[in-house]
Amino acid sequence: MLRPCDRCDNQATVHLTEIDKGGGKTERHLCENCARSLHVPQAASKELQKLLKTFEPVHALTSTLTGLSRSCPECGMTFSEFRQHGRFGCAKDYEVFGQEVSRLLRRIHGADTYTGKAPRGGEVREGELIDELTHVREALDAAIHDENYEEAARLRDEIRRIGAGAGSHESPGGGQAPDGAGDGASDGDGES
Amino acid sequence: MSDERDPPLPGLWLAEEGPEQDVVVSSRMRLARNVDGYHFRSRFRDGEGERLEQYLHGVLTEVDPSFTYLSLADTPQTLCEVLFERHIVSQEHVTAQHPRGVAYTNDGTTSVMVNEEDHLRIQVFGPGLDLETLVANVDDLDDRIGERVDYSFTPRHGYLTSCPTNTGTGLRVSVMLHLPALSYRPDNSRPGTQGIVKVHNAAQKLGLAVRGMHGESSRAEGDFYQISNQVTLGRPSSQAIGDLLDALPQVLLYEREIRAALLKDDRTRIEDTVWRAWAVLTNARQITSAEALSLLSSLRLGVCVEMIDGVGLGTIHRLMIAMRPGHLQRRAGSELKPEDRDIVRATLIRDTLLGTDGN
Repeated sequence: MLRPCDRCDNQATVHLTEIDKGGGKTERHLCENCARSLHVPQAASKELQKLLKTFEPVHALTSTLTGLSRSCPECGMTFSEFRQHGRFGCAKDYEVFGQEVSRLLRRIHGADTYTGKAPRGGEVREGELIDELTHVREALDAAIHDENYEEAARLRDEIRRIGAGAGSHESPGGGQAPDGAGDGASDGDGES
Repeated sequence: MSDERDPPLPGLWLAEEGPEQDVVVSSRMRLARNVDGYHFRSRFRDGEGERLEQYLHGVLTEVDPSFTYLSLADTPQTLCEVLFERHIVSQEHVTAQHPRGVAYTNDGTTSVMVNEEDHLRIQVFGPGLDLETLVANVDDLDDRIGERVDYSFTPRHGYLTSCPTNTGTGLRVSVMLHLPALSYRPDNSRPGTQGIVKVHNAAQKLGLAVRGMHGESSRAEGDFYQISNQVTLGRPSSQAIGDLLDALPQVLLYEREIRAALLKDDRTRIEDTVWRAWAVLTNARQITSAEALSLLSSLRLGVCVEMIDGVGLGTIHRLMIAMRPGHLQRRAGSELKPEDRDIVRATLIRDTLLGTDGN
Protein backbone atom coordinates (compact mmCIF):
# COMPACT_ATOMS: atom_id res chain seq x y z
CA MET A 1 0.00 0.00 0.00
CA LEU A 2 2.94 2.34 0.66
CA ARG A 3 3.78 4.07 -2.57
CA PRO A 4 5.22 7.44 -3.46
CA CYS A 5 3.17 10.32 -4.80
CA ASP A 6 3.02 10.51 -8.63
CA ARG A 7 4.28 14.10 -8.45
CA CYS A 8 6.80 14.17 -5.60
CA ASP A 9 8.65 11.92 -3.15
CA ASN A 10 6.08 12.08 -0.35
CA GLN A 11 3.98 9.08 0.52
CA ALA A 12 0.76 8.91 -1.49
CA THR A 13 -2.32 9.04 0.70
CA VAL A 14 -4.94 9.98 -1.91
CA HIS A 15 -5.67 7.22 -4.40
CA LEU A 16 -7.93 8.01 -7.34
CA THR A 17 -9.34 5.78 -10.03
CA GLU A 18 -10.76 7.75 -12.93
CA ILE A 19 -13.03 5.93 -15.36
CA ASP A 20 -13.50 7.49 -18.76
CA LYS A 21 -16.55 7.16 -20.98
CA GLY A 22 -15.13 4.13 -22.75
CA GLY A 23 -14.69 2.37 -19.41
CA GLY A 24 -10.90 2.80 -19.35
CA LYS A 25 -9.37 3.24 -15.91
CA THR A 26 -6.57 5.62 -14.90
CA GLU A 27 -5.09 5.37 -11.43
CA ARG A 28 -3.49 8.33 -9.67
CA HIS A 29 -1.64 8.27 -6.38
CA LEU A 30 -0.98 11.61 -4.71
CA CYS A 31 0.19 13.00 -1.40
CA GLU A 32 -2.19 15.36 0.40
CA ASN A 33 -0.31 18.48 -0.70
CA CYS A 34 -0.29 17.57 -4.39
CA ALA A 35 -3.92 16.44 -4.21
CA ARG A 36 -4.78 19.80 -2.71
CA SER A 37 -2.81 21.75 -5.29
CA LEU A 38 -4.64 19.84 -8.06
CA HIS A 39 -7.94 20.58 -6.33
CA VAL A 40 -8.75 16.93 -5.94
CA PRO A 41 -11.80 16.78 -3.64
CA GLN A 42 -10.39 16.44 -0.18
CA ALA A 43 -10.66 12.98 1.25
CA ALA A 44 -11.06 12.37 4.96
CA SER A 45 -7.78 12.49 6.86
CA LYS A 46 -6.06 9.19 7.56
CA GLU A 47 -7.04 9.11 11.24
CA LEU A 48 -10.62 9.98 10.48
CA GLN A 49 -10.84 7.40 7.72
CA LYS A 50 -9.64 4.77 10.16
CA LEU A 51 -12.37 5.76 12.58
CA LEU A 52 -15.01 5.88 9.90
CA LYS A 53 -14.10 2.34 8.88
CA THR A 54 -15.17 1.16 12.31
CA PHE A 55 -18.73 1.95 11.26
CA GLU A 56 -18.82 -0.73 8.62
CA PRO A 57 -20.21 -3.56 10.82
CA VAL A 58 -22.92 -1.26 12.15
CA HIS A 59 -23.85 -0.34 8.66
CA ALA A 60 -24.01 -3.94 7.61
CA LEU A 61 -26.63 -4.46 10.32
CA THR A 62 -28.63 -1.32 9.89
CA SER A 63 -28.41 -0.85 6.17
CA THR A 64 -31.23 -3.27 5.47
CA LEU A 65 -33.57 -1.40 7.81
CA THR A 66 -32.79 2.26 7.42
CA GLY A 67 -30.50 2.13 4.46
CA LEU A 68 -27.27 3.94 3.93
CA SER A 69 -29.27 6.09 1.61
CA ARG A 70 -31.11 7.84 4.47
CA SER A 71 -30.40 11.41 3.63
CA CYS A 72 -30.56 14.75 5.36
CA PRO A 73 -33.64 16.70 4.21
CA GLU A 74 -31.65 19.91 4.51
CA CYS A 75 -28.50 19.16 2.52
CA GLY A 76 -29.13 15.76 0.95
CA MET A 77 -26.06 14.18 2.54
CA THR A 78 -26.23 10.43 3.24
CA PHE A 79 -24.19 8.85 5.99
CA SER A 80 -22.27 6.81 3.48
CA GLU A 81 -21.31 10.04 1.67
CA PHE A 82 -20.22 11.48 4.99
CA ARG A 83 -18.11 8.39 5.61
CA GLN A 84 -16.42 8.88 2.29
CA HIS A 85 -15.49 12.53 2.75
CA GLY A 86 -15.43 12.91 6.54
CA ARG A 87 -17.26 16.25 6.37
CA PHE A 88 -20.86 17.02 7.25
CA GLY A 89 -23.05 18.93 4.79
CA CYS A 90 -24.98 21.01 7.31
CA ALA A 91 -25.74 21.33 11.01
CA LYS A 92 -28.88 19.19 10.66
CA ASP A 93 -26.76 16.12 9.81
CA TYR A 94 -25.89 15.93 13.51
CA GLU A 95 -29.59 15.37 14.22
CA VAL A 96 -30.42 13.20 11.19
CA PHE A 97 -27.54 10.77 11.85
CA GLY A 98 -27.82 11.24 15.61
CA GLN A 99 -26.83 7.76 16.76
CA GLU A 100 -24.00 7.32 14.30
CA VAL A 101 -22.69 10.80 15.04
CA SER A 102 -22.75 10.25 18.80
CA ARG A 103 -20.88 7.00 18.39
CA LEU A 104 -18.30 8.62 16.14
CA LEU A 105 -17.84 11.57 18.50
CA ARG A 106 -17.31 9.21 21.43
CA ARG A 107 -14.62 7.40 19.48
CA ILE A 108 -12.87 10.61 18.51
CA HIS A 109 -13.20 12.57 21.74
CA GLY A 110 -14.11 9.98 24.35
CA ALA A 111 -17.39 11.86 24.89
CA ASP A 112 -20.35 13.01 22.84
CA THR A 113 -21.71 15.75 25.09
CA TYR A 114 -20.48 19.29 25.25
CA THR A 115 -19.15 21.19 28.23
CA GLY A 116 -18.25 24.84 27.83
CA LYS A 117 -19.60 28.25 27.02
CA ALA A 118 -22.80 28.88 25.08
CA PRO A 119 -23.21 31.65 22.52
CA ARG A 120 -24.34 34.97 24.03
CA GLY A 121 -23.47 33.99 27.58
CA GLY A 122 -24.45 30.99 29.62
CA GLU A 123 -22.75 27.72 30.15
CA VAL A 124 -23.32 24.10 29.16
CA ARG A 125 -22.34 21.16 31.29
CA GLU A 126 -22.41 17.66 29.81
CA GLY A 127 -24.92 18.68 27.19
CA GLU A 128 -27.25 20.57 29.57
CA LEU A 129 -27.59 24.31 29.56
CA ILE A 130 -26.83 25.68 33.01
CA ASP A 131 -28.97 28.72 33.69
CA GLU A 132 -27.77 31.72 35.66
CA LEU A 133 -29.75 30.72 38.76
CA THR A 134 -28.12 27.28 38.97
CA HIS A 135 -24.78 28.91 38.54
CA VAL A 136 -25.28 31.37 41.39
CA ARG A 137 -26.75 28.65 43.62
CA GLU A 138 -23.61 26.61 43.15
CA ALA A 139 -21.47 29.62 43.97
CA LEU A 140 -23.57 30.11 47.11
CA ASP A 141 -22.97 26.48 48.15
CA ALA A 142 -19.26 26.96 47.67
CA ALA A 143 -19.29 30.21 49.67
CA ILE A 144 -21.14 28.53 52.55
CA HIS A 145 -18.77 25.58 52.40
CA ASP A 146 -15.82 27.99 52.61
CA GLU A 147 -17.55 29.90 55.43
CA ASN A 148 -17.38 33.04 53.34
CA TYR A 149 -20.61 34.47 54.72
CA GLU A 150 -20.20 37.94 53.24
CA GLU A 151 -20.04 36.46 49.75
CA ALA A 152 -22.88 34.07 50.60
CA ALA A 153 -25.12 36.98 51.62
CA ARG A 154 -24.33 38.76 48.37
CA LEU A 155 -25.12 35.63 46.35
CA ARG A 156 -28.38 35.09 48.24
CA ASP A 157 -29.43 38.63 47.30
CA GLU A 158 -28.49 37.92 43.73
CA ILE A 159 -30.61 34.75 43.69
CA ARG A 160 -33.56 36.80 44.93
CA ARG A 161 -32.90 39.38 42.25
CA ILE A 162 -32.72 36.77 39.46
CA GLY A 163 -35.79 34.99 40.85
CA ALA A 164 -37.78 38.24 40.88
CA GLY A 165 -36.64 39.19 37.40
CA ALA A 166 -37.15 35.77 35.87
CA GLY A 167 -40.88 35.52 36.58
CA SER A 168 -42.08 32.49 34.68
CA HIS A 169 -38.61 31.86 33.23
CA GLU A 170 -38.12 28.14 32.77
CA SER A 171 -34.94 26.29 33.48
CA PRO A 172 -33.74 24.52 30.33
CA GLY A 173 -32.32 21.91 32.68
CA GLY A 174 -35.81 20.43 32.95
CA GLY A 175 -36.28 20.56 36.71
CA GLN A 176 -32.90 19.12 37.58
CA ALA A 177 -31.70 22.20 39.40
CA PRO A 178 -31.00 20.63 42.81
CA ASP A 179 -28.67 18.09 41.23
CA GLY A 180 -25.52 19.16 43.06
CA ALA A 181 -22.98 19.00 40.28
CA GLY A 182 -19.38 18.16 40.93
CA ASP A 183 -18.07 16.33 43.91
CA GLY A 184 -21.36 15.84 45.73
CA ALA A 185 -20.09 17.65 48.81
CA SER A 186 -23.11 19.93 48.76
CA ASP A 187 -26.69 18.94 48.14
CA GLY A 188 -27.44 22.01 46.09
CA ASP A 189 -30.22 23.04 48.40
CA GLY A 190 -28.43 26.07 49.74
CA GLU A 191 -31.09 28.66 49.10
CA SER A 192 -32.16 29.41 52.63
CA MET B 1 3.91 45.47 -5.62
CA SER B 2 3.45 45.59 -1.84
CA ASP B 3 0.57 47.80 -0.78
CA GLU B 4 -1.42 48.67 2.33
CA ARG B 5 -3.03 45.22 2.31
CA ASP B 6 0.31 43.56 3.07
CA PRO B 7 0.71 42.97 6.77
CA PRO B 8 3.91 44.88 7.56
CA LEU B 9 7.04 42.86 8.17
CA PRO B 10 9.04 45.17 10.47
CA GLY B 11 6.26 45.04 13.07
CA LEU B 12 5.90 41.26 12.79
CA TRP B 13 4.59 39.86 16.06
CA LEU B 14 6.71 36.76 15.64
CA ALA B 15 9.81 38.92 15.91
CA GLU B 16 8.76 40.16 19.35
CA GLU B 17 9.85 38.62 22.62
CA GLY B 18 7.68 36.07 24.42
CA PRO B 19 7.86 33.72 27.40
CA GLU B 20 9.93 30.51 27.09
CA GLN B 21 11.08 31.63 23.67
CA ASP B 22 14.27 29.59 23.67
CA VAL B 23 12.02 26.60 22.93
CA VAL B 24 8.51 27.96 22.25
CA VAL B 25 8.49 30.02 19.07
CA SER B 26 4.82 30.97 19.11
CA SER B 27 1.35 30.07 20.32
CA ARG B 28 -1.88 29.96 18.35
CA MET B 29 -5.53 29.46 19.13
CA ARG B 30 -8.33 28.97 16.68
CA LEU B 31 -12.05 28.47 16.95
CA ALA B 32 -14.21 26.81 14.29
CA ARG B 33 -17.70 28.30 13.94
CA ASN B 34 -20.59 27.96 11.50
CA VAL B 35 -23.54 30.19 10.86
CA ASP B 36 -27.00 28.80 11.49
CA GLY B 37 -29.22 28.57 8.43
CA TYR B 38 -26.41 28.04 5.91
CA HIS B 39 -25.14 24.73 4.57
CA PHE B 40 -21.60 23.78 5.42
CA ARG B 41 -19.09 24.56 2.74
CA SER B 42 -19.14 21.15 1.04
CA ARG B 43 -22.88 21.53 0.38
CA PHE B 44 -23.15 25.18 -0.58
CA ARG B 45 -25.98 25.80 -3.05
CA ASP B 46 -25.56 28.13 -6.03
CA GLY B 47 -24.72 31.61 -4.78
CA GLU B 48 -24.80 30.57 -1.11
CA GLY B 49 -21.04 30.90 -0.66
CA GLU B 50 -21.07 34.46 -2.10
CA ARG B 51 -24.05 35.46 0.06
CA LEU B 52 -22.45 34.13 3.21
CA GLU B 53 -19.13 35.73 2.42
CA GLN B 54 -20.78 39.10 1.87
CA TYR B 55 -22.76 38.78 5.08
CA LEU B 56 -19.71 37.81 7.15
CA HIS B 57 -17.59 40.51 5.54
CA GLY B 58 -20.14 43.04 6.84
CA VAL B 59 -20.23 41.45 10.29
CA LEU B 60 -16.46 41.35 10.65
CA THR B 61 -16.02 44.95 9.54
CA GLU B 62 -18.57 45.93 12.17
CA VAL B 63 -16.91 43.82 14.86
CA ASP B 64 -13.52 45.38 14.27
CA PRO B 65 -13.27 48.32 11.88
CA SER B 66 -9.49 47.96 11.93
CA PHE B 67 -9.69 44.60 10.11
CA THR B 68 -8.41 44.46 6.57
CA TYR B 69 -10.81 42.24 4.60
CA LEU B 70 -9.81 40.47 1.41
CA SER B 71 -11.95 38.33 -0.87
CA LEU B 72 -9.37 35.79 -1.92
CA ALA B 73 -10.87 35.35 -5.38
CA ASP B 74 -9.85 38.96 -6.14
CA THR B 75 -6.51 38.82 -4.34
CA PRO B 76 -3.20 38.43 -6.20
CA GLN B 77 -1.66 34.98 -5.73
CA THR B 78 1.53 36.36 -4.20
CA LEU B 79 -0.42 38.28 -1.54
CA CYS B 80 -2.35 35.07 -0.75
CA GLU B 81 0.99 33.32 -0.33
CA VAL B 82 2.22 36.09 1.96
CA LEU B 83 -0.86 35.59 4.12
CA PHE B 84 -0.26 31.84 4.18
CA GLU B 85 3.38 32.28 5.11
CA ARG B 86 2.26 34.49 8.02
CA HIS B 87 -0.20 31.74 9.10
CA ILE B 88 -3.05 34.25 8.54
CA VAL B 89 -4.70 31.81 6.12
CA SER B 90 -4.30 28.06 5.62
CA GLN B 91 -2.83 26.46 2.53
CA GLU B 92 -6.23 25.06 1.66
CA HIS B 93 -7.78 28.51 1.86
CA VAL B 94 -5.26 29.81 -0.68
CA THR B 95 -5.72 27.00 -3.19
CA ALA B 96 -9.52 26.67 -2.93
CA GLN B 97 -11.72 28.04 -5.71
CA HIS B 98 -15.02 28.85 -3.99
CA PRO B 99 -15.98 32.31 -2.63
CA ARG B 100 -13.90 32.89 0.48
CA GLY B 101 -12.13 35.63 2.32
CA VAL B 102 -10.10 36.67 5.32
CA ALA B 103 -10.17 39.51 7.81
CA TYR B 104 -6.98 40.30 9.70
CA THR B 105 -5.44 42.91 11.87
CA ASN B 106 -2.49 44.85 10.56
CA ASP B 107 -0.13 43.32 13.12
CA GLY B 108 -1.14 39.83 11.95
CA THR B 109 -1.99 38.60 15.46
CA THR B 110 -5.67 38.08 14.65
CA SER B 111 -7.36 36.67 11.60
CA VAL B 112 -10.75 35.30 10.69
CA MET B 113 -11.01 33.05 7.65
CA VAL B 114 -14.41 33.09 5.98
CA ASN B 115 -15.67 29.96 4.19
CA GLU B 116 -12.68 27.83 5.04
CA GLU B 117 -13.61 24.29 6.09
CA ASP B 118 -16.02 26.02 8.49
CA HIS B 119 -17.78 29.31 7.81
CA LEU B 120 -15.53 31.05 10.33
CA ARG B 121 -12.08 30.15 11.55
CA ILE B 122 -11.12 32.65 14.22
CA GLN B 123 -7.40 32.68 15.00
CA VAL B 124 -5.11 34.56 17.34
CA PHE B 125 -1.33 34.32 17.62
CA GLY B 126 1.37 35.45 19.98
CA PRO B 127 5.13 35.08 20.40
CA GLY B 128 6.43 32.48 22.88
CA LEU B 129 4.12 30.71 25.30
CA ASP B 130 1.28 32.95 26.39
CA LEU B 131 -1.94 30.99 26.19
CA GLU B 132 -3.76 33.03 28.85
CA THR B 133 -3.60 36.22 26.75
CA LEU B 134 -4.57 34.34 23.62
CA VAL B 135 -7.58 32.64 25.17
CA ALA B 136 -8.86 36.00 26.43
CA ASN B 137 -8.40 37.54 22.97
CA VAL B 138 -9.98 34.71 21.01
CA ASP B 139 -12.92 34.43 23.42
CA ASP B 140 -13.55 38.14 23.22
CA LEU B 141 -13.55 38.14 19.43
CA ASP B 142 -15.76 35.03 19.35
CA ASP B 143 -18.26 36.71 21.70
CA ARG B 144 -18.34 39.89 19.65
CA ILE B 145 -18.99 37.94 16.44
CA GLY B 146 -21.48 35.70 18.29
CA GLU B 147 -23.51 38.75 19.35
CA ARG B 148 -24.21 39.49 15.71
CA VAL B 149 -24.32 36.00 14.18
CA ASP B 150 -26.40 32.95 15.12
CA TYR B 151 -23.88 30.18 15.45
CA SER B 152 -24.74 26.54 14.68
CA PHE B 153 -24.86 25.28 18.24
CA THR B 154 -26.70 22.74 20.36
CA PRO B 155 -26.18 22.21 24.10
CA ARG B 156 -25.72 18.49 23.40
CA HIS B 157 -22.81 18.74 20.96
CA GLY B 158 -21.71 22.37 21.36
CA TYR B 159 -20.51 24.24 18.28
CA LEU B 160 -21.34 22.16 15.20
CA THR B 161 -18.51 21.94 12.71
CA SER B 162 -17.98 20.50 9.28
CA CYS B 163 -15.48 17.92 10.55
CA PRO B 164 -16.35 15.89 13.66
CA THR B 165 -12.81 16.26 14.98
CA ASN B 166 -13.66 19.91 15.80
CA THR B 167 -17.19 19.46 17.13
CA GLY B 168 -17.77 20.90 20.60
CA THR B 169 -15.51 23.76 21.56
CA GLY B 170 -14.13 24.07 18.01
CA LEU B 171 -10.88 24.99 19.70
CA ARG B 172 -7.46 24.04 18.50
CA VAL B 173 -4.68 25.39 20.67
CA SER B 174 -1.19 24.84 19.41
CA VAL B 175 2.31 25.89 20.25
CA MET B 176 5.19 25.88 17.83
CA LEU B 177 8.30 24.43 19.38
CA HIS B 178 11.89 24.49 18.25
CA LEU B 179 13.34 21.13 19.26
CA PRO B 180 16.77 20.79 17.65
CA ALA B 181 18.27 18.87 20.58
CA LEU B 182 15.37 16.44 20.83
CA SER B 183 15.60 15.88 17.07
CA TYR B 184 19.36 15.44 17.20
CA ARG B 185 20.57 12.03 16.19
CA PRO B 186 24.25 11.16 16.36
CA ASP B 187 25.52 9.44 13.19
CA ASN B 188 25.87 6.00 14.72
CA SER B 189 22.54 5.88 16.57
CA ARG B 190 19.57 3.77 15.57
CA PRO B 191 16.67 5.54 13.86
CA GLY B 192 13.79 6.32 16.18
CA THR B 193 15.97 6.81 19.23
CA GLN B 194 15.81 10.61 19.23
CA GLY B 195 14.01 12.34 22.06
CA ILE B 196 11.41 13.68 19.65
CA VAL B 197 10.09 10.17 19.08
CA LYS B 198 9.52 9.82 22.82
CA VAL B 199 7.82 13.24 22.90
CA HIS B 200 5.61 12.11 20.05
CA ASN B 201 4.57 8.94 21.86
CA ALA B 202 4.02 10.68 25.20
CA ALA B 203 1.97 13.44 23.55
CA GLN B 204 -0.26 10.89 21.83
CA LYS B 205 -1.05 9.27 25.16
CA LEU B 206 -2.10 12.68 26.48
CA GLY B 207 -4.44 13.26 23.54
CA LEU B 208 -2.10 15.81 21.97
CA ALA B 209 -0.87 15.82 18.39
CA VAL B 210 2.64 16.60 17.18
CA ARG B 211 2.90 17.97 13.66
CA GLY B 212 5.11 20.05 11.38
CA MET B 213 5.26 23.83 11.14
CA HIS B 214 2.16 24.35 9.03
CA GLY B 215 -0.08 22.00 10.96
CA GLU B 216 -1.96 19.09 9.50
CA SER B 217 0.01 16.83 7.19
CA SER B 218 3.04 19.12 7.13
CA ARG B 219 6.47 17.72 7.92
CA ALA B 220 8.68 19.03 10.68
CA GLU B 221 11.08 21.21 8.71
CA GLY B 222 14.01 22.77 10.52
CA ASP B 223 13.12 20.91 13.73
CA PHE B 224 10.04 23.08 14.26
CA TYR B 225 7.07 21.18 15.62
CA GLN B 226 3.52 22.03 16.56
CA ILE B 227 1.90 20.43 19.56
CA SER B 228 -1.86 20.81 19.77
CA ASN B 229 -4.94 19.46 21.52
CA GLN B 230 -7.14 16.91 19.80
CA VAL B 231 -10.17 16.63 22.05
CA THR B 232 -12.91 19.24 21.69
CA LEU B 233 -15.83 17.50 23.40
CA GLY B 234 -16.59 16.48 26.95
CA ARG B 235 -14.24 19.00 28.56
CA PRO B 236 -14.19 22.75 28.58
CA SER B 237 -11.63 24.73 26.58
CA SER B 238 -9.82 25.59 29.78
CA GLN B 239 -9.07 21.91 30.30
CA ALA B 240 -7.69 21.47 26.79
CA ILE B 241 -5.42 24.43 27.42
CA GLY B 242 -4.55 23.07 30.87
CA ASP B 243 -3.59 19.68 29.38
CA LEU B 244 -1.21 21.35 26.99
CA LEU B 245 0.23 23.56 29.71
CA ASP B 246 0.72 20.51 31.94
CA ALA B 247 2.59 18.59 29.25
CA LEU B 248 4.76 21.43 27.97
CA PRO B 249 7.10 21.97 30.95
CA GLN B 250 8.32 18.41 30.58
CA VAL B 251 9.03 18.86 26.87
CA LEU B 252 10.77 22.18 27.53
CA LEU B 253 12.84 20.70 30.33
CA TYR B 254 13.72 17.68 28.21
CA GLU B 255 14.85 19.86 25.28
CA ARG B 256 16.87 22.14 27.56
CA GLU B 257 18.52 19.21 29.34
CA ILE B 258 19.53 17.61 26.07
CA ARG B 259 20.84 20.94 24.79
CA ALA B 260 22.98 21.20 27.95
CA ALA B 261 24.15 17.59 27.67
CA LEU B 262 25.06 17.99 24.00
CA LEU B 263 27.04 21.13 24.81
CA LYS B 264 28.89 19.24 27.50
CA ASP B 265 29.55 15.99 25.62
CA ASP B 266 29.61 17.05 21.99
CA ARG B 267 30.40 20.75 22.10
CA THR B 268 32.76 20.84 19.14
CA ARG B 269 30.22 19.21 16.91
CA ILE B 270 27.43 21.56 18.00
CA GLU B 271 29.72 24.57 17.58
CA ASP B 272 30.69 23.31 14.16
CA THR B 273 27.04 22.93 13.13
CA VAL B 274 26.14 26.41 14.37
CA TRP B 275 29.13 28.19 12.86
CA ARG B 276 28.84 26.37 9.56
CA ALA B 277 25.23 27.55 9.45
CA TRP B 278 26.42 31.10 10.06
CA ALA B 279 29.13 30.75 7.40
CA VAL B 280 26.72 29.54 4.73
CA LEU B 281 23.93 31.95 5.60
CA THR B 282 26.24 34.97 5.51
CA ASN B 283 28.07 33.92 2.35
CA ALA B 284 25.81 31.85 0.12
CA ARG B 285 24.85 33.36 -3.22
CA GLN B 286 21.86 31.11 -3.77
CA ILE B 287 19.92 29.07 -1.28
CA THR B 288 16.66 27.10 -1.24
CA SER B 289 14.09 27.77 1.47
CA ALA B 290 14.50 24.24 2.86
CA GLU B 291 18.26 24.65 3.26
CA ALA B 292 17.85 28.15 4.68
CA LEU B 293 15.28 26.98 7.22
CA SER B 294 17.49 24.13 8.34
CA LEU B 295 20.47 26.49 8.75
CA LEU B 296 18.37 29.15 10.50
CA SER B 297 17.29 26.39 12.88
CA SER B 298 20.95 25.68 13.70
CA LEU B 299 21.62 29.39 14.05
CA ARG B 300 18.62 29.72 16.36
CA LEU B 301 20.08 27.00 18.56
CA GLY B 302 23.39 28.90 18.56
CA VAL B 303 21.63 32.08 19.72
CA CYS B 304 19.66 30.24 22.44
CA VAL B 305 22.75 28.60 23.91
CA GLU B 306 24.62 31.92 23.69
CA MET B 307 27.14 30.63 21.20
CA ILE B 308 26.24 33.41 18.78
CA ASP B 309 25.61 36.95 19.83
CA GLY B 310 24.77 40.02 17.83
CA VAL B 311 21.81 38.26 16.22
CA GLY B 312 18.48 38.19 18.03
CA LEU B 313 15.74 35.60 17.85
CA GLY B 314 13.53 38.34 16.39
CA THR B 315 15.84 38.68 13.38
CA ILE B 316 15.83 34.92 12.81
CA HIS B 317 12.04 34.71 13.11
CA ARG B 318 11.60 37.62 10.70
CA LEU B 319 13.93 35.92 8.21
CA MET B 320 12.06 32.63 8.50
CA ILE B 321 9.01 34.45 7.15
CA ALA B 322 10.62 37.00 4.82
CA MET B 323 12.66 34.40 2.93
CA ARG B 324 9.62 32.41 1.84
CA PRO B 325 8.55 32.50 -1.84
CA GLY B 326 5.46 34.71 -1.44
CA HIS B 327 7.31 37.32 0.58
CA LEU B 328 10.29 37.36 -1.79
CA GLN B 329 8.08 37.82 -4.84
CA ARG B 330 5.90 40.43 -3.17
CA ARG B 331 9.03 42.34 -2.21
CA ALA B 332 10.52 42.00 -5.70
CA GLY B 333 7.26 43.21 -7.23
CA SER B 334 7.09 40.37 -9.73
CA GLU B 335 6.88 36.61 -9.98
CA LEU B 336 10.27 34.97 -9.65
CA LYS B 337 11.38 31.59 -10.92
CA PRO B 338 12.60 29.24 -8.13
CA GLU B 339 16.25 29.66 -9.13
CA ASP B 340 15.89 33.46 -9.08
CA ARG B 341 14.19 33.27 -5.69
CA ASP B 342 17.19 31.33 -4.38
CA ILE B 343 19.46 34.21 -5.38
CA VAL B 344 17.19 36.91 -3.91
CA ARG B 345 16.80 34.82 -0.75
CA ALA B 346 20.55 34.47 -0.28
CA THR B 347 20.97 38.24 -0.65
CA LEU B 348 18.20 39.00 1.82
CA ILE B 349 19.65 36.62 4.42
CA ARG B 350 23.20 37.93 4.00
CA ASP B 351 22.12 41.55 4.21
CA THR B 352 19.90 40.93 7.23
CA LEU B 353 22.43 38.91 9.23
CA LEU B 354 25.29 41.24 8.41
CA GLY B 355 23.09 44.20 9.30
CA THR B 356 23.19 45.92 5.93
CA ASP B 357 19.51 45.76 4.96
CA GLY B 358 18.34 48.55 7.24
CA ASN B 359 15.43 46.45 8.49
